[in-house]
Amino acid sequence: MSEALLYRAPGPWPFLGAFAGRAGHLAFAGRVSGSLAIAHGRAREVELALARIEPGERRQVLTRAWEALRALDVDGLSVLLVSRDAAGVGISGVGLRSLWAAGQGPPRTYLPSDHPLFGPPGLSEQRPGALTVAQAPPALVGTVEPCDALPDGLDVLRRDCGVWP
Amino acid sequence: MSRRWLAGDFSDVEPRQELPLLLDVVRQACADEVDLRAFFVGLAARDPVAAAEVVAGHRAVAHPRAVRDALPAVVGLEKVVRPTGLYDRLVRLVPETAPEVLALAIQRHAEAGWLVALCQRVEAVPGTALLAATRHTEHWQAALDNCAAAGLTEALARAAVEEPVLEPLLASVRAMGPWNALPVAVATAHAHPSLPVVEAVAALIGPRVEPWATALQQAVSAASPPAG
Repeated sequence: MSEALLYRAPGPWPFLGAFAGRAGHLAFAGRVSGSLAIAHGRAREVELALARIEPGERRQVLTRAWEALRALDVDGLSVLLVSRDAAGVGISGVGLRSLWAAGQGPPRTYLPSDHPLFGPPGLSEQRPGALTVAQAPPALVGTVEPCDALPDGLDVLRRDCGVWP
Repeated sequence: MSRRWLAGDFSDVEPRQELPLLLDVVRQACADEVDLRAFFVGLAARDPVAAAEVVAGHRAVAHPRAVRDALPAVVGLEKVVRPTGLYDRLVRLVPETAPEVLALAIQRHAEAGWLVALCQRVEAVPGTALLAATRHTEHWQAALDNCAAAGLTEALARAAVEEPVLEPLLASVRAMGPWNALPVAVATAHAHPSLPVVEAVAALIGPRVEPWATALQQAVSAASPPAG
């Protein structure tokens, strides 16, 4: 199962409103906007909601995740969702500016910058699309700012994504 | 001659050629409890190398008055002796006046990294004086960062208790990681329960702080209620 990571944002609070986790066949990482206390609380709500997503067919899992997120009505949502079933991997997200493959050599861009997966934060009326692939790298790293390069080494990268050993 | 020197007038002498005599004057003044401030300031202005030799050289007079009265002359002394070596020498020379020497070093070099080593030599809880002296100044963040880089958790915890701010904790987490900074977090959360400690640390290092937050909560619960 690919790990979903969201790279730190610039500024004094690189993980303000950040959330991350894994539930069944869904991995997720993202952030919401707000003040320190409010964003933190909303992020925990998002974690709980996504952790309850039942396993299933990968596109169905993504659909359930989007429904759960829409029900929460959080502000400034950016999120990377990665689902998996026996047939392959589903990738979706909002509020991302780049997506990187990591864990097999130096990180490399996974999608071109004009891919429809990328866009502003927040959910629109239309549910975000999904990319389905047979296999995904060990880790997928989203960024909320344009990014030319990510640090080499999965441990360093994971720490820069707020994942401590 | 001695009287003119004590008044800071060295116009008629080449101080480097009179070092034994200058040291004798210092020794005698210390014994007689005579003020040496003008002497050291005047000597440092006339010949800072000679002044440095008298104040901090290997034959320097190890007497509290000699060190204390030399402190107003440090501006001149620092022209010829690196501050890190100068203050370290003065602290070693007379431990009794070490806190005053440290205070002056902090006043003049609040953001210098070497100050932390001086604090460690002088203070029972290293970093306390540095953080207290720089609080509410532009130097506080650098002082916090230097103390955190040196792992001075006790001083940082004390600073965290002083007023409801997150800076000591955040500097600690940045420098040491969340687990080593836990004592500072406990002090912060215990003294100021309304501060968003967990929220701030999560915003700083990442969202997966639940084990750390649990440890924090347990430690705070185990501590006695805050005074007042």
